[in-house]
Amino acid sequence: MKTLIKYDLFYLKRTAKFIIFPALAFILAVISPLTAKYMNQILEFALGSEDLPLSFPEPTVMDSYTQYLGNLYEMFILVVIFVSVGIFVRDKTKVLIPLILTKPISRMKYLLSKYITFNLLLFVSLIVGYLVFSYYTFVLFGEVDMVGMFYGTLLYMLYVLFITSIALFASAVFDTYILAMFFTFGGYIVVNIFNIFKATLFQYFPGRIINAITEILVGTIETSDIIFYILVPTIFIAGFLVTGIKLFLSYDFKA
Amino acid sequence: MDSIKLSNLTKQYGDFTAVNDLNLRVKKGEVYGFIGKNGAGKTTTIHMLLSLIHKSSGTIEVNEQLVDFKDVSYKRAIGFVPDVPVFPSYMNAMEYLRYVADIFAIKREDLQEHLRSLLEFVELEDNQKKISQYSRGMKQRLAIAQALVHDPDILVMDEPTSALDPIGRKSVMNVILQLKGKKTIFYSTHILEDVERVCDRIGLLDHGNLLLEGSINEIQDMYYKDKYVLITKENREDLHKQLQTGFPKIDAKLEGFGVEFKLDDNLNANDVLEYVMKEGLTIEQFMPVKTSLEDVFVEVTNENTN
Repeated sequence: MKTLIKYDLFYLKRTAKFIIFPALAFILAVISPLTAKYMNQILEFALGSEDLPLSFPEPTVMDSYTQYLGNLYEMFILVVIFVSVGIFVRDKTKVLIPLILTKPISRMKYLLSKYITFNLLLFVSLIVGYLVFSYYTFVLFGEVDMVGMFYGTLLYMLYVLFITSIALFASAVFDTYILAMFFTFGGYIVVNIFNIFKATLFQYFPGRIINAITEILVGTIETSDIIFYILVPTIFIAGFLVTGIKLFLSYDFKA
Repeated sequence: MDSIKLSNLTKQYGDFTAVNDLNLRVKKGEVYGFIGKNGAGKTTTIHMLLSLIHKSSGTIEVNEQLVDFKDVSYKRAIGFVPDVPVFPSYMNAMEYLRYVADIFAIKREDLQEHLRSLLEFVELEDNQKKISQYSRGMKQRLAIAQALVHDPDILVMDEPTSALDPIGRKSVMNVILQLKGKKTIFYSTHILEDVERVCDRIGLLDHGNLLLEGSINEIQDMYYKDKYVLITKENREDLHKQLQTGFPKIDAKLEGFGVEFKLDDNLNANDVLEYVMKEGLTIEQFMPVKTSLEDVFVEVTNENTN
């Protein structure tokens, strides 16, 4: 497993993905507090007049949090979807696997190594983003909840693990990048649609993690809620991983 | 000792049987030519042997150990060379060999030297170039090198020369010839010229069935021993008629300018020649049929199709 992880990291390094994700997190971490801080000026500039009969509230640190989380939930996760599907399915579509799996490598370890390595990179990128975001928010707003943001980053990582587990599952089911990508993207959309429903059944669905992060930052979250916000997505992740790996174990590489 | 033993091995895709009740043994140290047309079931068999696909029934033994799909340890004894090898494009040859060495957890002090000598062996000394810039022949030679990194007992080669130009093919064949006698080689191909050059024994697969097996000489004898061609001054139709009249059980057919026939235990060449001369025919040529593996291949597969 160590060898596989080492070479999966090598692959990420050689293909520039190693730079892309920390860079993306860095950019979002810089842009988000700036956008939040100067949103009023941006709007005034965009609307072209200083005499509008609208008054915008003074931006607060919460706007900075919201902006950053929104960017992570949209931009960052979209790049994660596109790249993760590529990583999991590429060996299959590029016919690299037969040569690799004729060596004493367990199929499960092979797949898990890719999952772990990619998520490790995403985690490091998010930590980079967290540190940069905290610094910029403090500089611009004079305050930042570093502990809350840290927990928020961990919870967001859980969401990332959930999305990449769908990508892994889709790559085990489908033989082409396009199909696997559509399935994963579809999963992402469906999960977000569940956010609309207020029923208790969907209260802790993975898409709701953003609510949990907000509650942490506002300071209104209950301990029991935290447990469920972690537990429910973890069950989903385990389900996708186990099923994806089982499918991969029984997969026949075409002769 | 059998390096590879396949017993009643079958692979079915729905109603289609790709490999049918295959029984085959490859002895330690021999080069076994696994021949057959495209789609005969060769690659399917190899993929079952390597646990890339599941078998429908039957058993596989490698070095007299029963192979279990989930148990990957037996693969330590095997080096695999595919027909069209695909490598990570971002690596160079040395990096890829090192990766393979790491997978096999090879801990030898002279690892770098070992890998370099392998690259020299397959004539890929310039290993700094990215693999994506390699020609097909170079990739095929790298495939051989990577299959030898862990010094396996068995080399499984799936049509290693089929996608190559004549120069690439010659170069790969030379490498295989050098390995002959040092490794057990299970060599799948449809290029019979290559088989005649390197193989000790062959098995002919067609539509998933093993039609014949043996050494090249045995197989040629089996199909062409006691086969002769007779050409007379008279036209060949007359000769054919005369032979069938004189020897009703003879298996004679028109071939080229004369008649080809097969002798059996009750009939020798002298009997035929004496008879022909007695009938007043003038013999121009009388010779045994020279045969190639290709002739056997065509005959046997045609028989199977018919």
